[in-house]
Amino acid sequence: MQFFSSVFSLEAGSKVGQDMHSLKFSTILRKLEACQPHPNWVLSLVIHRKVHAVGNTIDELLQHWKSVFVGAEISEPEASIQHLMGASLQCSTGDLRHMGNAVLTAQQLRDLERRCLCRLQRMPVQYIVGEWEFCDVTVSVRPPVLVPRPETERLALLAADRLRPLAAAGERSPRLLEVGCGSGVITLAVLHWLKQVSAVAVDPSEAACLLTEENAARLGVSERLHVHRAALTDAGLPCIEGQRFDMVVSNPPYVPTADLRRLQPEILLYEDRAALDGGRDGLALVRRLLRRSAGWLRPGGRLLLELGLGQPETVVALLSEPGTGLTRPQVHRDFTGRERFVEAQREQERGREDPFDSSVVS
Amino acid sequence: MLGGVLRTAAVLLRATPRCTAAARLAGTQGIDWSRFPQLDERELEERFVRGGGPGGQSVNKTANCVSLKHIPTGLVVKCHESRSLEVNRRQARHLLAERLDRALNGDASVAAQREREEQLRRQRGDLQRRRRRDRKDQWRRQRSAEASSEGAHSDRTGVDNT
Repeated sequence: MQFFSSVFSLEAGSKVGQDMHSLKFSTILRKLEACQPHPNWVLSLVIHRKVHAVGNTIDELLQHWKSVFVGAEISEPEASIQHLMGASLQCSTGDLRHMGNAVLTAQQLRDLERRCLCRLQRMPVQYIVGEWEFCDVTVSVRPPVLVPRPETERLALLAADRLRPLAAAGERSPRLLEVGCGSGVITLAVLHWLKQVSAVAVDPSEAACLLTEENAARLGVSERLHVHRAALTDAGLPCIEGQRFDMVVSNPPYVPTADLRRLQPEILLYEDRAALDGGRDGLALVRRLLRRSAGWLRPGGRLLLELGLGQPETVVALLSEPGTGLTRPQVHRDFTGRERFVEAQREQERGREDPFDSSVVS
Repeated sequence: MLGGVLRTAAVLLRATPRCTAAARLAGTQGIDWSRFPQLDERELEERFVRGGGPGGQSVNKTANCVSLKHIPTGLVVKCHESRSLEVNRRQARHLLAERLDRALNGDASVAAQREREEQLRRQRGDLQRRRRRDRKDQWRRQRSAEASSEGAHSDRTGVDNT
């Protein structure tokens, strides 16, 4: 507890609570202000510590920090401290239940406090922990690359589900293209599950490309993955000129620009806005994907998209218009039971296979 | 001499199917899975702790808690072991099936069978340890008997030589 030790001139590990009672409230406040902490949480911290003695056991610290987070109006206060504690102690949140009386070392306390201060600054829990699970893979996560959302797990499961028969048939290695890979989770999960699949992942953000490559190395799938730094423009994706894939998967930015300002501070302060901004109706990138995908896909190949609420209906309508080269649209639901994903297939017509003629489908 | 006995025993132990990984697997294949409940998704009710609102890109929550209810029996399991929601959904189904197995099949459940197997294995281990200890004690007694008889013998020769 380096911070509090310096304020109260206490030895590390002593029971802060007992000493707090002997100090006047005004003295505490003056000392804390001298250290210039974030004003929002100081009061709640001080009040809480004045009223409750805080020890160094897991249960006491969980209770204490939960109250601090509640006082500072941090979202998911209980889950937050559970995850941060797990990170500091390098154990799972499940293990914490059985270790309630364990005492933290001075170093662990410092580590926990550092993480909690970050949380009080609205940093997403996932960034503070530095890694996160996505289906069966564990990946590093780093600002400003978008934190993988739980809904997206189902997209990865769908993608693997569709590629599995191709992989099992064994005629050739199925090829996957991901547009806007972010931390790489969708592609990496598929590569992890299906060892025969090879993939290309593109993202306009340098940070995202680096993170995807890092995660690929971490998972031992680098040899089957090429990462390109590229933006999907009206000209398509020149970097994959001439290449064909069995599947195109994407979780493109789909939040309407006007809605961005209403998002949580966690998102606005730390995550790449370009990974979220889908233009006026949220569908700017989606429209480009619908125009271009058939040119990237083999006949019968599939497009899988994650979308915002209300968008699948619009996208299915767009797909029914002639000229996209995509057919048989399906809508899939996410774990909350809401329509979230659209799947479509490239038409089987032989005529569109000319690799130099991708302009036909735009 | 004991070294030789131990070496032979060790070789025998390695060779014995009982003690290899394959044997352990063979042991588990002895478990009867025929009564293990197969979950029907239509009989399950799943609940998640999720942030309100539109979800997806618009929300940053750690939402990984799954609560799974088996409607016919009312059994509920909760799982937030992993930080992945889908992993927790899978794990919740394992847990629920195991709980149902216990509740419906009691002693014939897979878990109970495993416990009995584990107990047997421990007993076998105890027996082997006891046997090894007995052999060691026997050898020690033999050695000390030999030593005392040798000592007596050298005393006599010493007396003879002087």
